[in-house]
Amino acid sequence: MLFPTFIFFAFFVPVLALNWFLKRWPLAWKLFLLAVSYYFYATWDIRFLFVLGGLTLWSFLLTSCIAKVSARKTVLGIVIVGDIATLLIFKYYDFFRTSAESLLAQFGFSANFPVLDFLLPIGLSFYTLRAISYSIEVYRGTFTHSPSLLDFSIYLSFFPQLLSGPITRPQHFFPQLHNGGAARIPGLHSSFGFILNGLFKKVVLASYFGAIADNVFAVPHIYAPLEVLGAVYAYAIVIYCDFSGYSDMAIGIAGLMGFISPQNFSNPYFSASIQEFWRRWHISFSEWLRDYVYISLGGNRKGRVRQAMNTLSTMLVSGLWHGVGFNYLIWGFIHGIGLVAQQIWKRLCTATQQHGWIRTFVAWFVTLNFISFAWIFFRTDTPQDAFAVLSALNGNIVPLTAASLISMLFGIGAFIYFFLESRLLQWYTKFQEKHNIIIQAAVMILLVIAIIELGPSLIPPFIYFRF
Amino acid sequence: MSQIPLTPAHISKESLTGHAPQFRKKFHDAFRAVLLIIVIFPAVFFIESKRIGILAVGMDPGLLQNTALAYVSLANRMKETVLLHSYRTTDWQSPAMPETGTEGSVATATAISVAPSAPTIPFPLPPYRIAIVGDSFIADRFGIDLENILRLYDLASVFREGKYSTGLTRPDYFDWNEEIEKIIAKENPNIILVMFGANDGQSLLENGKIILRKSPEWNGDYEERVDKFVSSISKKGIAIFWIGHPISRDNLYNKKIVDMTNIYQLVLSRYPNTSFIPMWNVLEDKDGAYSDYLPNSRGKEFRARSSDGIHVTDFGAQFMLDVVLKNLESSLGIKKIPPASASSSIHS
Repeated sequence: MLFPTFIFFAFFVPVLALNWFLKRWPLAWKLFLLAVSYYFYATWDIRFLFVLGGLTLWSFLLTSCIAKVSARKTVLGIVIVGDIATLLIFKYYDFFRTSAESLLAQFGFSANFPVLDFLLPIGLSFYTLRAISYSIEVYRGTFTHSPSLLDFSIYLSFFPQLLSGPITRPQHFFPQLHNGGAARIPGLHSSFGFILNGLFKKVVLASYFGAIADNVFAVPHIYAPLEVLGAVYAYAIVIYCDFSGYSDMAIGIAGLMGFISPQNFSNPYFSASIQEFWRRWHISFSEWLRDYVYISLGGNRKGRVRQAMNTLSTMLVSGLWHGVGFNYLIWGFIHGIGLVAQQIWKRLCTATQQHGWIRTFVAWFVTLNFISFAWIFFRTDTPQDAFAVLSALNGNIVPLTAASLISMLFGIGAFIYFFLESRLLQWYTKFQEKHNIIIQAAVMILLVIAIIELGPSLIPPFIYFRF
Repeated sequence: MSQIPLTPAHISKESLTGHAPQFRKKFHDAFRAVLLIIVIFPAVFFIESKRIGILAVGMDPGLLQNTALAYVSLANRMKETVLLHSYRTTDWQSPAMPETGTEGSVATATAISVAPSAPTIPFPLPPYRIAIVGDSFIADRFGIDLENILRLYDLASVFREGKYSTGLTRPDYFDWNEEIEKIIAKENPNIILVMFGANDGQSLLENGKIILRKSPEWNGDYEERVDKFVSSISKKGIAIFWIGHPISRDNLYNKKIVDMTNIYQLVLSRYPNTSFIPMWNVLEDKDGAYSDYLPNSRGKEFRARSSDGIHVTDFGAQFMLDVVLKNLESSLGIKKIPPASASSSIHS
């Protein structure tokens, strides 16, 4: 069930009430959390529970051995291979199968690898990363293995974060399960603020700009270059609003349940460099990549060439994680090249300088365009489709229609909204805290009505559910 | 802010430990959260009863749908009482509970083995202006590929409009009868390719009454809607090619598609300038069953269907495109032209 739906409301109200009622009995509360999280997952497809349950048992049992055996690294390797194998089989097998067959055919070999017709469990990419994070943290000694299978099961399956993150670290999540968890909601009005902000971004902004992007990306060659350019920026808005919108709702819902979630987005489109972008975009995933892929490969400790290779490899992993297809690999590669180029640039320009506003503006503009154009490969199904969009940018510049100009103004408005997002959330929270419950309810009703009236009738599916 | 009064249970336990104020605060926050949600959602549903009603009609029959519809009916009656007529657009009547459903049992859909109807129609003369309309099949991969390929043919124009989650059962959500009139007025097509059905296997709304999918009146009502849509196009002298729906993964869904396909063919048989292009067998495997994967001409298997078991990938779309294009080529005599001269009319 999707967050912003009637059926989720029918599910969440009793869950919220029971969550707080049961906290006085910590064991019952935890069992309840596990039950509702598994139920939530089962509403997508009951067969998914086997994958989630299987991965939970596998990771827990093997990680519990890490502290007890001498061959700790071997055990860690086995548990990670098992976790990744699950992901590979369900998500990537078909891609590797067809790619291998094509490659072998190029050399004159004929191969027919077996076809495995598996349904990809939604959220698998996310809870697999949480499982790997847990095992590595236990191995590194930065987290003490919890003897409670129940706690670990909740960590992997916690329903607000199950399908699309944020990817919480065990150090952050497990303490919130102790002794009935939080004594109170950590920010009642900021939690509601996150939910409303997420709803606005998903229901209004992502839907509106999604329609623009979809039309142009479908047949780019029939559109004028400026319209294609507009669609490129429109998609940048869509992917941010879609993903951060869901993330915000997840954070807000978890907050109402008494759980603090890590921040997942921090004005990423106002970054002045690619590196800064990756510190602001899907923060929980970027940090996961940094801590478990980049640093494990050696990070910047093995010389400049190795650092560049590690950076590229990490971004290729990022691309592959996001999607199955060469277009995602290209997207990851583009970002890897961008990061490497930035590393080289930083070394060349080592003198400390005051960055004037012009230089900052240029840096921001270049970064925004780099990211937006890279998103083309993310949006299209194949690299060929992406190049078709890029080709469509070539052509005679014709004046924009009135409709396109209005869309452009809305686009600028959207970026202004992104810039003010955190301030708006603070203002909302402060306003609500100052007023009584009747005013609080009235404000929230008005905001929800406004979102409904501004949005389309049907909510398009969340993009990041694909991953 | 008023304090929530402690119950005796709280006083007896918490006050002894000295934790009463903290516990009161926790209870207060959580209570406030639940209270806000309980107040906000019904209030929003009341004000937006029209939209909620539209969504509720499309829900699966059951307790949730009945609750939603009952609430929407109540909301509309209350609005009428306070003279808020402008918000009431329909007088919802909750459906009678259906008889014990047979839809719960898995039915094996029979394949549709009707040959493509031989076009005997007086086709319009070229130049052809083709409009492609329909649901998510037309909005997504298949429709996009169809438009792109048709632009390589000697046609005067190609226009495509696909709308996700639409069909002929829910004009309250999106009215295709109205939309097709606009398209005809603007694009002046002489050939229309139509594809519906993916979203039509749901309850109908007829004069404020909900007709459940399983009810006996559904087929007749849906046939009328299809007839109305087809006749509005046909009487303008526009030829219709109705593209059928391929076999899908879910058997219950397939059963609905089979019913609807029979209706399409029945209606189309009444109009001289229409043709049905069946797709049911096009995406079957060699055993006549559904398969996510299909072999190409060299026997290599590729994914043909999306993860929902309904829509198609690019590879799967090719199978459907081959059938549609062969049909159009033989019926209309259209041909591919060299790439430099391909149709590339810009439509906004």
